[in-house]
Amino acid sequence: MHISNISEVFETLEHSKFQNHTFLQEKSKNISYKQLLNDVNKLCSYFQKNDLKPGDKIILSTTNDYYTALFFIAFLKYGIVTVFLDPEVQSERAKAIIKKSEVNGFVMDVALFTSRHIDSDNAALFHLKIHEERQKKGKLLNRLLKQKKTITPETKSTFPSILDTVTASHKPLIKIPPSHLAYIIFTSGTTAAPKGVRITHENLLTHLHTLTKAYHLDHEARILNILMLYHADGCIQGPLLTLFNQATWVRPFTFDVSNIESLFNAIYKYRVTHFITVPTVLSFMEKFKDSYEDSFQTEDFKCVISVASKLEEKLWYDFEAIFKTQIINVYGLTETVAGSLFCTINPPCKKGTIGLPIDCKAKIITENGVEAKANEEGVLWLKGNHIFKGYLNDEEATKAILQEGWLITGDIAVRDTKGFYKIVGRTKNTINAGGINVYPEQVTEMINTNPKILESICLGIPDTNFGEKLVSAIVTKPNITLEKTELIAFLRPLLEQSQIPKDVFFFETLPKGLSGKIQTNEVLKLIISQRKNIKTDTLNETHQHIIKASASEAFGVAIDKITMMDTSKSLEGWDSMGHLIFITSLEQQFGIQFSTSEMMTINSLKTTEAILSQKLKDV
Amino acid sequence: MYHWLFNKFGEKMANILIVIWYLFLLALIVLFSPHPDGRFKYLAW
Amino acid sequence: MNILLILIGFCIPALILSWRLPEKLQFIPVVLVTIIFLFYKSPLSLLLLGLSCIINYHVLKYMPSVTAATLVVVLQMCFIFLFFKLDYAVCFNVSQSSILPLGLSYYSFRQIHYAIEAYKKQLPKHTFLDYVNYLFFLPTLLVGPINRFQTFIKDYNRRRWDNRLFSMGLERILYGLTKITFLGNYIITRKLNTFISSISDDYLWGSTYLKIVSFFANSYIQFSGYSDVAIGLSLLFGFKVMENFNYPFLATNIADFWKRWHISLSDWCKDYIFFPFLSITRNAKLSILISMITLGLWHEISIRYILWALLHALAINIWYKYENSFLQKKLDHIPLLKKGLGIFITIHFVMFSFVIVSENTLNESLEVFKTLLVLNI
Repeated sequence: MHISNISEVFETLEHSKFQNHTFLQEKSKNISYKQLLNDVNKLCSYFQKNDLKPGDKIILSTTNDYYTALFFIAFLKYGIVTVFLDPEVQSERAKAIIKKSEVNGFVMDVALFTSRHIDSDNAALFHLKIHEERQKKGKLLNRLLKQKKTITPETKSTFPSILDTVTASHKPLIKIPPSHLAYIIFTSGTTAAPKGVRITHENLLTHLHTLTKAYHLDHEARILNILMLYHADGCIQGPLLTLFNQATWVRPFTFDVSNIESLFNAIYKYRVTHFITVPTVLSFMEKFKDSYEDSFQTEDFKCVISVASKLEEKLWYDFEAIFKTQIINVYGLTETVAGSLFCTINPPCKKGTIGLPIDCKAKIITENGVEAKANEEGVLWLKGNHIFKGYLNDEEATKAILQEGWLITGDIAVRDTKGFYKIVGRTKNTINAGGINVYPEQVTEMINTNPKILESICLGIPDTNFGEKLVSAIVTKPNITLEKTELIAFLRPLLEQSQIPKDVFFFETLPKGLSGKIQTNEVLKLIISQRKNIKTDTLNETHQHIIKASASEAFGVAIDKITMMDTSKSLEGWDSMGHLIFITSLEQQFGIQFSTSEMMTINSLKTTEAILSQKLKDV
Repeated sequence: MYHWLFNKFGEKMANILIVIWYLFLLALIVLFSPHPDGRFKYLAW
Repeated sequence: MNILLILIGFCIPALILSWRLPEKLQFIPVVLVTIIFLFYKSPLSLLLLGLSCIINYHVLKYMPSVTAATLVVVLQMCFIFLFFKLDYAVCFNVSQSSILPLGLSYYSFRQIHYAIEAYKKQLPKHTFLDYVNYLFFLPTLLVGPINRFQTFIKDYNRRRWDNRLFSMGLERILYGLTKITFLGNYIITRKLNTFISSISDDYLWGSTYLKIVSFFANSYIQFSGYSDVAIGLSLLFGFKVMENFNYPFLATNIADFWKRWHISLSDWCKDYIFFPFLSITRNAKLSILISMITLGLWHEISIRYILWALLHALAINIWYKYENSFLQKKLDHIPLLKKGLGIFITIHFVMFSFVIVSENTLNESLEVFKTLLVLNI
């Protein structure tokens, strides 16, 4: 089945035997394809009634996941260009995005109309307010008394109430040509000048085919994707990829470190087959794995798909070893819809790389502007039908990134002799913190508006959980003190959560080059040296070695067979007697004494290490 | 049990045999349930 | 058999409702059915379980000192347990018979486990309702296993309909019932025992030997059969409860035996008796002794169970001494003999030790030993 037009997706669905199949699995509610289709058709009639035309650009901004998916899908069918605007975006940037995209209308949560000062009386523009249905208490009682839904005038003209006023129309819709714009996502650029990535129907459909192929998806797939829907990896690899395969999208909750247990449980509970996520989440799962090691050992589960940022080799190997599962590593940009190169499982690719390009061409261009040989570094260029059509109303930026049909990714890569690509660095000044791109210039721009600050610079430093984290180096005006908390409070209304610096360092001056520009690398060195003075809390290699050696002696296992991942279950000789020998041996070597509860808690080498490092710190 | 039968005799035969096996066990239970209870004393009730 | 059928009968409506109701309400019928069952079979047990459940959860949650809270809970559970085990209940007219309140041995140990895990800060996030669900879970209420709270909550949170689990559960119940009715009740209790008593006194040694084999075999088959039913029922509800037996007759040494026989109890003793004592005394021999005595007294508070425990503790200590000995290393060259010999010695030691507790008085046990050792001729 080769789908080349979005209308075919809906045609096959109309005649599909999977209409009762679940499209979206939420925590306590399922949305079937039948309902989705019905809602989409009703929305399309509503658009017709309101004289919307294919090609119109409409801002979409709601916190409800199903509504986001529903409107995106309905817009695609009707030919409307979705302009994604994260409901979390601060009003300054929202204003700039709205102005830049010259939209024809808004579909937003009621609250956002007020906070963003959108004048909903402007007759020239289409407005639809999303009014989340309140928790209807006493629903049963209402039904018993046969009360009708109470519609206040306030909710009458809002979504989803308006769905009751229209019937699904059978008026044929205009067939959307492939070159037509599908959606716009704003990514980079400064707050004042946001850059909107324009993706066409052709880009999108081509890429959905590629993703389907790379992940081996079909209608039986149950895709767990809890990423943010206003990023390409959320909306494209979530609802859209699901719809394209008539599969099921599992989204019982959004990610939060406190519900990591639910995440483990979700794999079995919702019969997940594909888990699409970012390395940060994998790193948290690796950290909180205790007693959840078997989570991926279900009959249904196929693979983890890591997107959005670099998957560190160590995490990759550890994760696969602990959970006995496999990871597909994806490389892509918003400009390439979602992916481009894939380190797939079948056929197998070399771990630690981004694998091979699928349905596209890749080349590496060296500093000298020629194609790199094997193992030679250079900038990665990509070409294919999924490459975007340029930034919205920004010729200059487009020219800088698109040359003769090639997309210049800005990432530095090498290709090994077998043809596998690997990312080794980047030329653009971006920080990837847990899969979210942060542009330090945007943050610096806002920090500098603080009257107490003389100059500042923001940059990324390595972080074990997030890969990188945003920090800022600041010089305050003479004789003025500024607290970190005060600065953060100042920034909150101006920036998104991900853009708030995670750490602030104060300096007398910042190192500058001849041109007077602040030298990022020098600042980085200063920050790292300042941090070193504060703390070093990880146990060094020798401590791990002592733990392993003691374990080897106590449990009678060869030392090269022991890893830090071992537990009392995985080590054959770890019985009550071995436990005592192990504990006393560690006590002697480190000159410490374990308490009763500590002795009882030690059930793996990792917990041993954690308790030991805590004890040594206390000593 | 089923896996063992499956590997030994193939799917179709395994399906038949497992049903026979279960029926046989059921028959044993029904047939011998009137016999005196030789319960281990420390089942703790 | 009777009580087992009633148990299964009670589980059926709870089972159907627990899979048909909306997710939030699924466990209410299970708890309700457990309450009704206990009310019908042993109201005293219901009262004890209900009160201790409410008190323990709240003491552990709201008492400022975790150590004190844990002590309160553990002492309270020990008191209740000993009160009934030592027959004070009859003395004080709380209970008419010396039979324990239904399931007390299991739920008191579960609650001590919960308290100590709370002390170790190893409990996952949970509510009072989760704790109620854990304690009022009918399948494992009567015959164990002494399953752990953490795994129960994990299974509870990821519970979903699973064909494979359900059919595994049905099969398990079938096997359990066959073990109890056919192998245990018919073959051993009726056929084998009749045969043994028909053996003439000329073959006293043979009949005595067969008698202890039959006692051990019956204990194993009955107990593991009941465990099979409990585990099978749990599987029907979507819970993978820990195994209680792992072919104990194949154990190659006495330490191995205790990892295969009544696993949930021996694990409990290891975690909550052995380790704490080990960390306080730093003496493994003593800790093993105390663990084994607890394990013995769990069955019955009596001199013979203390003797039985001493014997096992001694055996385990001897095994650890012998494990790295010259003789054992020699045997490494003939693995088959080493394994065979290990199994033979272990099973015989276990069977012989059961003589102490299988006879009515210690004198009778002594007579049996005399016969076995050919000392009474």
